Amino acid sequence: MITILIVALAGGCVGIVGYQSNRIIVSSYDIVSNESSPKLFLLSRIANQANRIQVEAISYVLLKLTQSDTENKHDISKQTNEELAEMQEASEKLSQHLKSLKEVDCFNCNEEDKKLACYEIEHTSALFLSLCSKLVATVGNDESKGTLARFKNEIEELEHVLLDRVAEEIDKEHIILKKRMETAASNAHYSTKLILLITGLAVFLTIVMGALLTNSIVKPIVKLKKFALSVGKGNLDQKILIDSNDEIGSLSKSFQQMMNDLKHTLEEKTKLVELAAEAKNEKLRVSELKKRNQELEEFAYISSHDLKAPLVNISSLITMIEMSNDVNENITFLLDKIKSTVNSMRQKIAKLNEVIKLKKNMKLEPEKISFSDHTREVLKNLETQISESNAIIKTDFSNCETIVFPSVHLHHILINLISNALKYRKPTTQPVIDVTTTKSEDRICLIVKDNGLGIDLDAYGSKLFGLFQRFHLDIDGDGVGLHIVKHIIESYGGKLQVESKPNEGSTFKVYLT
Amino acid sequence: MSKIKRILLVDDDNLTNLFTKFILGRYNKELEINVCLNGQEAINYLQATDSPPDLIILDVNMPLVDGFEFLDWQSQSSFQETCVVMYSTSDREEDIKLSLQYKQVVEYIEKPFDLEKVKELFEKIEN
Repeated sequence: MITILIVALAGGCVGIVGYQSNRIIVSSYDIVSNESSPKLFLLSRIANQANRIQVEAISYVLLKLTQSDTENKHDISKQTNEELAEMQEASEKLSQHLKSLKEVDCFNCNEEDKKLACYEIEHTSALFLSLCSKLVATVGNDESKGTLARFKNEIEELEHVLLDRVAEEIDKEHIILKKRMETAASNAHYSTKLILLITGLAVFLTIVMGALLTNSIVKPIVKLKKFALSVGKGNLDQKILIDSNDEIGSLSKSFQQMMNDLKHTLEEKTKLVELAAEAKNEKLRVSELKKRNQELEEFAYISSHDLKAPLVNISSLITMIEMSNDVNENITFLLDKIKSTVNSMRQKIAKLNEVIKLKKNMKLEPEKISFSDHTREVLKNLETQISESNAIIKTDFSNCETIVFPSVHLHHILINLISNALKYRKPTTQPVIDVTTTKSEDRICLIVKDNGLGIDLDAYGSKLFGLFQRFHLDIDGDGVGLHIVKHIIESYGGKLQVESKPNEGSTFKVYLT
Repeated sequence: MSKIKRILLVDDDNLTNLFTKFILGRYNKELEINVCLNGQEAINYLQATDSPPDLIILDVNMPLVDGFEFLDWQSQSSFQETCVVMYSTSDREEDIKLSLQYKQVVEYIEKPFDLEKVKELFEKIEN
């Protein structure tokens, strides 16, 4: 708004200055008109003509006088001298009148002044003429009479012409001056109009320019200001819609760039904060899990210990009863049943302890192991079962002969998988067990394949690796083996896969790394 | 090693003590068996008695002063030569290893006793 006012004011000043200069032009024109030369020129011409007539007249009279009679010379000369002096005076008067006429300001000349001037001229001329007539009469010569009469006529004629010319010239002058005045006035008027128009136009242009400037400068700045405030409040998802090639445009572009950078930085920061929070949560979760695991192990140990103690006491009491003397056969039978129940319970607790121990002792130091050597050792441990079942064990480690792995755990894996294959054989078929290895993309896989009973994975797949889970109830098993195997494999980042169909056999694939 | 006549049984479980006494009595009726229900009681007993035991059968898990704390005390006492048999419900490897580090400990036996175990133990100590 302030800008608009300033520009409008400037336009107004321009208009006023224009108007003033016009006025100066008009007045200077007036001055020039007052001092214009035509009038002076005219008057000087009149004076010259009068002088010429005077001089001609005098010279003519003098000539005539020299030609006249010598007789009357004396008298005439005396008279003539007086006449001449008078004539001289009259002509001087004429010349004075002409002079004063010369001084009359034509511009301010009214009709009366003009008439007076003409009258004076007329009067002086008449005087001059009468003097001339007197002179002619004094001379008294016919010839000179005629000459003087002609002269008189000439002068009269001349006088008329002169007066007419003067009047005419004065009228002409008046008309010209009037016209000039009118022209000047109309010029001045036109100029004033023009100036006013220009002033108006200037004001209008100023307003338009101001509006345009406001539009192109103030508006974007206001927009930018709003934008900056909005950004300051945290709204970073907006775009500045200022599309110009000037400094404002580049400023807004820089601003947009800055905002984009800011947004980017903020996003990064948010991500980092999220990551940090996640990491912290993860850490907390891990430590929580560790703590829980520890608690669970402790709980498992204590419960296995505390569960064992009463069982130990029951067996002790049975022993005491057995050792007493009054025990009949019925009681012995019952005592045996109690003993076997207690034993099975103790075994379970022992297995549970074993599981806990194994899980606790995870992450042993790995060492380089030959699959064939290790398998041979395992098979030696299983000698009895193998010979009992008459099983054929085929091994092929040509694809991968060695592995770096903790030997205790590899032993555990192999012995569990092979003993399971032997245990869950088909009673009618000779068991054939294939133990092989494969290697692809640094991933070593140990495969134990049998032709045994198999497992219905659709029905029991989810329970296969659960603790104390059993699927062939007629065959002795503790439901611990596969659970531990899976646990070991997974603790090294490996994977245990099972393919199995009832009555066709099972294939266990152990991805060790 | 002289013949064992007096035995101190330190265990917080009364039934275990009853059974241990029963088995030991079966092995040798003439054995003199005293019972303490925890380590602190055993320390008090030893400091007061005129006839110290030839053998201490010591449970691991007990209230107040447990088996290992008793062994620590014993190592610094005038009874450091007395043979000790550790007797525990659990077969924790750490416990076994730790107890065998004490000079006076001759055996670690998992509960319960039976006649065979007692015979083996006495043969080992007395020879």
